[in-house]
Amino acid sequence: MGETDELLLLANGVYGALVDAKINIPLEQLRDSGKLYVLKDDLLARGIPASAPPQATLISYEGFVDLVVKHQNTYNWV
Amino acid sequence: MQKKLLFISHKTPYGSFAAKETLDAALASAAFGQDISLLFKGDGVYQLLPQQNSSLLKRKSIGAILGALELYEVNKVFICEQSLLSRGLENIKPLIKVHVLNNLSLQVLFSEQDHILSF
Repeated sequence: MGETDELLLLANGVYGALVDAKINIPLEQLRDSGKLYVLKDDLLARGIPASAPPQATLISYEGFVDLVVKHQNTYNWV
Repeated sequence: MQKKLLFISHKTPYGSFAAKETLDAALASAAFGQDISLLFKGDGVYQLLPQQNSSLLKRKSIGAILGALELYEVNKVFICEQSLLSRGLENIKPLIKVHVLNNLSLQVLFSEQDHILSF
């Protein structure tokens, strides 16, 4: 990721926000830099507590739109 | 004739409809008097997370379907220990009563079945 890039976890991607998951080690750095966002409804729907991703910013669908508008490009990893 | 069937559920609860359909198939088989076991493995273990709120996704709750297992007398419900560990979920309180199986116990479970159906 570049200097100004940000990452949004949504749909099944929110499982990456589980603190203890051993698959998410690269996310720790992102969390510290405040560039990690999680779509709140997708997180709560799956039974992951809102407190699970400590440094991530939980956002609504409106926040999702704001992020898309803020950045020139978006890229989907499906 | 009654057969021993093992359903293995590998999918996340709301990423697709696979999790729901696996449970529906297991319940249907139970209704036809088969001897059903159900195993949550891989990403399937996420189905057991408590406090899910599927109404946010306008979807039917996986928890509600899991609750029906007991009514259909599907009591042999298992979860793969290795899958829990690799996802950091070993301390969760599962939505329903499940037996945690290590790899050796999985091997025994598989060997006891007439058919294994993996979804």
